[in-house]
Amino acid sequence: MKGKKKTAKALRSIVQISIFIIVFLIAISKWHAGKGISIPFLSNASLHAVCPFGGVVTIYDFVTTGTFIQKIHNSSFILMILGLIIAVLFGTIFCGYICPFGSFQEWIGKIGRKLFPKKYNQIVPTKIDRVLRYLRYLVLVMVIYQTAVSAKLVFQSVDPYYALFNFFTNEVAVSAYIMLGVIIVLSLFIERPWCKYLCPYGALLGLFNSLRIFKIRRNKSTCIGCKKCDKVCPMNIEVSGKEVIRDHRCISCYQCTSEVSCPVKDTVAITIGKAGASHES
Amino acid sequence: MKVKPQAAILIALMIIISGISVTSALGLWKTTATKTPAKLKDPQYSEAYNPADIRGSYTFSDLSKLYNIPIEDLSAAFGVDPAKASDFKCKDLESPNGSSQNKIGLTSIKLFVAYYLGLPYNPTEEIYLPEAAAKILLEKSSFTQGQRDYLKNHTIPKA
Repeated sequence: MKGKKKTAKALRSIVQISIFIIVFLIAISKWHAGKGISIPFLSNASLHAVCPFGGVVTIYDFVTTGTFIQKIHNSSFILMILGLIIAVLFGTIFCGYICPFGSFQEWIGKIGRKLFPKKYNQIVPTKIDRVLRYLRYLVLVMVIYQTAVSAKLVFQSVDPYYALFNFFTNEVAVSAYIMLGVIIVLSLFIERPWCKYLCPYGALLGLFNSLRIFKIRRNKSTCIGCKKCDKVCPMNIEVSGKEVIRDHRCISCYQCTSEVSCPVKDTVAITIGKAGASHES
Repeated sequence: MKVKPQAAILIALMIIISGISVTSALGLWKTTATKTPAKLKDPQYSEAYNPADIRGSYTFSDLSKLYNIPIEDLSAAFGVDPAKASDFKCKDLESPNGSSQNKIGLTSIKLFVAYYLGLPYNPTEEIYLPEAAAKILLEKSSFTQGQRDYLKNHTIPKA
C-alpha cells in the first residue's frame, strides 16, 4: 500500500518536473531562435502558443472577425479545446498536474512549509478566504473583456507565468515581474496563492469540477474521520465533510485520494457515476 | 468505475499528445503566425488582406509584399533605417513597458496600412502615428473629413 502511494506521488512529481522543463526549454528555444540558433526538436513556438488560456481570451475576436488576437495562434486554440475536453472528464487536472506555474508555486511552498510548519497555508482567515476565492472570476471577466475591446494580449503585462519563463528576455513588463515577486513571497505562506485567488484559467476550469465525469468521491461508510484528506488539500477544501468534491477551488491534485493519502482503501477515489467509492445521496 | 490518479493523468496527457499529433497531421497545429493575414469579410474588399490581422512577427518586407506598399514608404513613415527595413519586425516598434511617450506600436502600423490603402479598420483604442507617417498618408491617400480630423489629432510630432 505504501509503495503504491509512493508511486502515485512520484508520478505526479515526474509529470510536473517534465512539463516545467519542457516549457522552460520552449522559452529558451524561442529566445535563441531570434538569434538564429534553435534547439533541436523544439519548434520556435512562443509561450503564448502553448498556453491554452490564449485560446480562451481570443474567442471574441475569433467569432467576430475570424482572426486571433496579437501573439495568439492556432495552437493556443487547439490546446484550449483539448483542455476543455480534459476538464469535462477530470475537472481541473490541468491545474494539479500540468500547469508549470502551479508546480512552481508548490515547490516554493515546500520551503514555506519548512519555515512555518504550523502557520503555513493557514494564515488567511476562512471568512476572508471564502470571499477572496471569487476574485479570480472577476479577473477572468476583466481579462476577457479587456482583450475583446483592445484585441491585445492585455494579460501579459501582469502575467507571472510569462515573467517566470521569460525573465531573461526583454519582453517582460515591470508589472509582471512585480506580480511574480509578490506571488513568490506569498507562496512561502499560502499554498498556490495565484491559483487560489487570481488565476483566470483556473477559475474557468474550476467550473467543470461540478460537471466532470470522473468525480472525486468520499465513501462515508468506510471513512474513519481522520481528516487526513483535509490536511493534505492544498486548496483548504474540507474533503471530509463532502461526499462528492464539486468545489470550484479543487485543483484535482488527487492528494486526498486513497491512492495517495487517505489511509483507508477505496474511501476517497476518482469514480464515474454513482458506483465506486461513494453512495451519493 | 474507479480510476486511479495515475491513470487519470496519463489519459489527460494522451489527449493532449493525440490532439497535437492529429492536428499536426491535418496541418492545423501552428505555433507561429502564418505570413498570410485573414481577408476582409466585406465583399467590397473581398480580395484584400485585413489590416487588423497584421502580426508583430511580420517584417516590413512581408508587409510590402502582402499589401503592395513600397518598403521605402514604410521605413520613412516609422523612422526605420532603410538599410534594415526589410528585416524590421512590426513588433520591434513596441516595448513591453510602453510608456505614454511611446505611443507608436503595431496598431499604428495597422492604421497606416488601412489608411494608405483605403481599407476599413476600426480602431478599438486611441492610435497614434508619427508625423512622417501622417505626411505620407496625406500626400498619397484620399481621406474623408473624419479620417483627416482623426489623423490631425493623433499625430506625434517628430522629437
